[in-house]
Amino acid sequence: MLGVEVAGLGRSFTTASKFRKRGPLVEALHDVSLAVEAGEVHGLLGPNGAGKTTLCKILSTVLLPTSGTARVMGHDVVSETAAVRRLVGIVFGGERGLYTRLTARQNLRYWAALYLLPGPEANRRADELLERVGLTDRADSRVETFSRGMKQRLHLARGLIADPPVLLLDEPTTGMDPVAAREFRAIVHELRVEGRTILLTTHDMVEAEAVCDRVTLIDRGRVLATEPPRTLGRWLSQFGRIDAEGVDEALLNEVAAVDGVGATACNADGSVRIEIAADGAAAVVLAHLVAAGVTSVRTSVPSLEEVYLQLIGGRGLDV
Amino acid sequence: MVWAAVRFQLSNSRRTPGDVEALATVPLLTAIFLAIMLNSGRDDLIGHAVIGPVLMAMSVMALNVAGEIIQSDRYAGTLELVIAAPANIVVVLWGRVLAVVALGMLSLVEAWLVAWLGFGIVIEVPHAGVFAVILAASAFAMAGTATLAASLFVLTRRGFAYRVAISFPLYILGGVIVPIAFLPEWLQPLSRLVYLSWSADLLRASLRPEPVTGVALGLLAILALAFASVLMGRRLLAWVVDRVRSDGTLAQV
Ligand SMILES: Nc1ncnc2c1ncn2[C@@H]1O[C@H](COP(=O)(O)OP(=O)(O)OP(=O)(O)O)[C@@H](O)[C@H]1O
Ligand SMILES: [Mg+2]
Repeated sequence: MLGVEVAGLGRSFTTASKFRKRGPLVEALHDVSLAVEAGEVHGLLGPNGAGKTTLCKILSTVLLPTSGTARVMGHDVVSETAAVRRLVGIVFGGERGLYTRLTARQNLRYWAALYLLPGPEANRRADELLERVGLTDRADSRVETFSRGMKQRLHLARGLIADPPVLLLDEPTTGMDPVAAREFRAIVHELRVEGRTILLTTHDMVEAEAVCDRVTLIDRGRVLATEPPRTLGRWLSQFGRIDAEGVDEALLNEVAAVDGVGATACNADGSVRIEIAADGAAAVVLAHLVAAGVTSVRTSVPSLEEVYLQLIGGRGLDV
Repeated sequence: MVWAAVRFQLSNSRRTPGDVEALATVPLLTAIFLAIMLNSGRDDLIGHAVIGPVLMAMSVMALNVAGEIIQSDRYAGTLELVIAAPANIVVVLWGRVLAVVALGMLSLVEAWLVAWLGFGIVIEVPHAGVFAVILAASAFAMAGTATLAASLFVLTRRGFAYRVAISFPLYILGGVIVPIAFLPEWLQPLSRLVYLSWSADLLRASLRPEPVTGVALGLLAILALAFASVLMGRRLLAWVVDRVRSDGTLAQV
């Protein structure tokens, strides 16, 4: 059985304004199809406004689709909402979704009741999860005194309260520092080992590559492709970028002529940026720079938008 | 589930003085009513002076908290998550409102103290059993009405204006401030549809020494109206929630 199955899913919004009852139609999702195997960690990768949150909301039954179907463990999200609600755990990124005036423990116990757990089990489960996300020491402090990372961990515990077989994680690591994000990924890994189906949205390619079994790329409501994470890894190295200081014009022209170098540009601070568009070119460029005595060099991974631009512009992806 | 909601709301209200601020108005209102009634020589209306502010405070608190729950849950991003959970939102709301109504019973203590300390009147409750039962039934009905009102608050973001618009006609019809007998004749049957009219009558009667009549009928009316409002609230909320799920306006603040 598929953990999550989405077929021909569409969702549009009418943007009502003060003066007109119905403004232009925004198509947040267009003919989206997606299959997530039970037990799979599936990434949904897309830039802002791609429709990731919209898909998560439809799967969590708080938003109705305008066309197509979506199923969670075989249950339709529109006609079998009650069954779907029992199966899905929801973790939205950001600081919202918690009762900040209450303690972590009070929050979890309340949510346990909302997931219809009997009292003793609710208490046991709350303690267990507090332990798991490392909040036992702060269990009885009010959530408003928590740091962002702690709130996010509590949010994860909240999503796990009913021990759901399917988890929707909508940009769960936004705002976390790198250490917290790494810990979070370790937890995602554990959840996978436990056999849960996870749909994780992100716009971070590194994150998608690190935790997902497969990744679906979406943009402006449309699915572009579903890829294994190693493809992302290849793109990351293929489309890297190099920033260097103290590069004169002659040297810049020299590296720009190297095979596989994309655009070059001068940054506002006087350094230059060299974009790499092919595997192996980075090493050649670095060799040139070092040979010319440039030592202040920084390489970084491209953003999702840059990769999209390269792929779609260069027909690297069939769309 | 109801118990969890009650406990949750009690902890929450401890940190939200707004939920119980109606309690602050009770001593003043009681004092004003008592002063008016004593000065006009209507000692027989002392019951009105005490019961009126108490019922007003309790029902104001119920309506306020229903609006507040929807508004603050929407703001905190938890409203969506509550709807995504398997529990029925009506039960959750009803439990949370009931907790605040129970706190509202403190207003009774306030009114009693004002009468005693301020006016030297010791109000006795000759029919304490009737009084307690009717008060408890009224609390259930208040939570029911507030649940019904909550659907309105889910639909719109202007909860406050509606709260005021709902509550005042309720007091008038419910005979909380002036006895129903003073209302125009055509309004009187209508006021029988408001549980407050039955509550106010019976609570006042239980403060008087003569035997209370019509307790069973009144109690039945209050409970039936409470039950009807919860059922209606359930239907209306289900409809409203479906509507915001289809419009995509659930999470908008
Ligand atoms: N309730 C709504 N009403 C109107 N338009 C909406 C609503 N929700 C989403 N949209 C629109 O749908 C599109 C997709 O939004 P969505 O929130 O799903 O994107 P996202 O991929 O989650 O983006 P982000 O990375 O910024 O979180 C956007 O154009 C957004 O403006
Ligand atoms: Mg989003």
